[in-house]
Amino acid sequence: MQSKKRKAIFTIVGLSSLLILCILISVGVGSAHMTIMDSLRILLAKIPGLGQFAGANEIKPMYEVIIWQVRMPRILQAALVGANLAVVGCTFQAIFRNALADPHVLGVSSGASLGATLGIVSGITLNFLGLGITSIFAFIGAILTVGLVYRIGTLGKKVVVTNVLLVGTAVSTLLSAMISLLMIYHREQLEKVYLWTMGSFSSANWSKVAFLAVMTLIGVIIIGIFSHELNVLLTGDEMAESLGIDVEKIKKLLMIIASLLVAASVSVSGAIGFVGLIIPHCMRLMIGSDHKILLPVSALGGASFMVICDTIARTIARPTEIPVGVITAVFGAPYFIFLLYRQTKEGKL
Amino acid sequence: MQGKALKIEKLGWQPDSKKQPILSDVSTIFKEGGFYGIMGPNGSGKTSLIRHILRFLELEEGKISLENKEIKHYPRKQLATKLSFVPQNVNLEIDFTVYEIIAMGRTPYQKRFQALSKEDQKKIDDAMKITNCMSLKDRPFSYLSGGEAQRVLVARAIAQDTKYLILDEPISHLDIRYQVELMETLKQLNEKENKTIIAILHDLNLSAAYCKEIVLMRKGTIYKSGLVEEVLSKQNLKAVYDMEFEIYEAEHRKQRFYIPVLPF
Repeated sequence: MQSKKRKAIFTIVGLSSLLILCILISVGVGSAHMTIMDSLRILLAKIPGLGQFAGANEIKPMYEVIIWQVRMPRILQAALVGANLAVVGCTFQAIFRNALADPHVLGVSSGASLGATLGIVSGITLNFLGLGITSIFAFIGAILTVGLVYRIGTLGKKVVVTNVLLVGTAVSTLLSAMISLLMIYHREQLEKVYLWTMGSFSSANWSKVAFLAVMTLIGVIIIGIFSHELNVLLTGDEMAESLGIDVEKIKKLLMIIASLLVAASVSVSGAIGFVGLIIPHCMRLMIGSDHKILLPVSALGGASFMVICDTIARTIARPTEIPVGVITAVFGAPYFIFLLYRQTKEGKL
Repeated sequence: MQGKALKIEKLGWQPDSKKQPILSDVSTIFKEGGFYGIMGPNGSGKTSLIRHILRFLELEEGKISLENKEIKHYPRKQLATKLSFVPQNVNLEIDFTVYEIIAMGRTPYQKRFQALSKEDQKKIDDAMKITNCMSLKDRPFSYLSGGEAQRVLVARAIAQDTKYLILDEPISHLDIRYQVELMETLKQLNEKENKTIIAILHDLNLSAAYCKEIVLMRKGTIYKSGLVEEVLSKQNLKAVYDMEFEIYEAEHRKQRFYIPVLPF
């Protein structure tokens, strides 16, 4: 028991340091020629009380704009989305007791994509709390889709996992078809829609960061409150019920919270795949299934992974930017296949 | 003493998809301190009965009450301090240790964000001692053999510290040594700790040896219930299983043997 606790603390401290390191390095790399030291000095100058020692005055003001208005929100948004998706992945894998569940299984992303597509092709410009029309439509699309999937999938008295997952897939397919149709009729927007669905943090700004930070904080805390229930749920619904857990109520609540989290992420950054699938699995291999530890560790791991992926995405083929979804998939897909292969071999599929 | 029982009255259940009811007019009483075996052929409604008692299925027809209060009026958490459950076949591919699995038995007593109390730890330790799980403590649950896993799940139910233990075919997939060992554990719990045991069983010989009373089911109803010798008679077994049985008494000890007469 004691060694387990120590390992958990060690992992959390280690991953937190990794995240901070990733953020600091990421701030320093990019198209503008700036040393990492200069970027650190700009950041330091932002800290009240320490600013005067940073000596950032000698640095060009343009660089400050790049660091503070471009890179920093982008990096933080990537970190929040990564944490968000990893925690949701963890949650879905536990409540569906399915290792292959990821944040997009309920059709959230296709709903968001359809919403975003409609937003893009509508040509409306709108600004609500700093969120553009695409994000707002995407968020609404995501919520409506989850609502629909959830309604159909839980028609009976109980949440039937297979039904929910199948309905999610069916609805996703239907919505993707509608997106394709819209794209054919609005060829001039095709590239924009396509790039959006690939996922990107290039449109990051502080408003989006604030929106995501609030959603993520509240959502992750609520899910965290139920970490013991998630543990017990892993041993089976009936076992959990016989231990006094109201399985149906908790599953429904967590499904709603998790879906809101995904909706928030997807609406600001597009549908980024594989993070919500591979990060929880990697972390489980490292520290086990105890959600009290697994949830925070996944959040930190997801955040670091996303910051790294996005840094690669925006720097590897300068000046062209590769969609971050491509980078996560390049890391994620091979691992996913490995997982599938291993499970099939063990006869669990 | 009147109220200290689990009472089933006119329990019925017919899912929409089924032509025949799975349970109909099932009435029986499980008194506190008893050791009950629920027996009967496959599909006779044994599992459906206990699934209703444990509230895995919503009650549609009839009444189930515990200590004079209907179980549907108990908050689930409170019910979990009265009834515990050992499921049938469990292979869990999760990397919790044996200790963590058993500790989950304390869930109904725990407050959020609270570590295990002294009392929790004592109950867990006691449960491990009774079931002989001490040596398995730190082993991952998924590495255990069938017999070991079953013991751990019984330990978890014991740690749950309930008056009633409900077990779904606890010995069906164990080898004979583990079967006897587990029945001995249940007997000890029944006699020393005054726990009420309600177990679905298939083995006539072990049921006769360990249970005090038998509830014999057939086609969704209770065919007979009562003391072992009365219920497990040749006629009743013939009626329920549609098979002839020979029953022998051991010479120097109180043990009965049931042998099916083979159709050749």
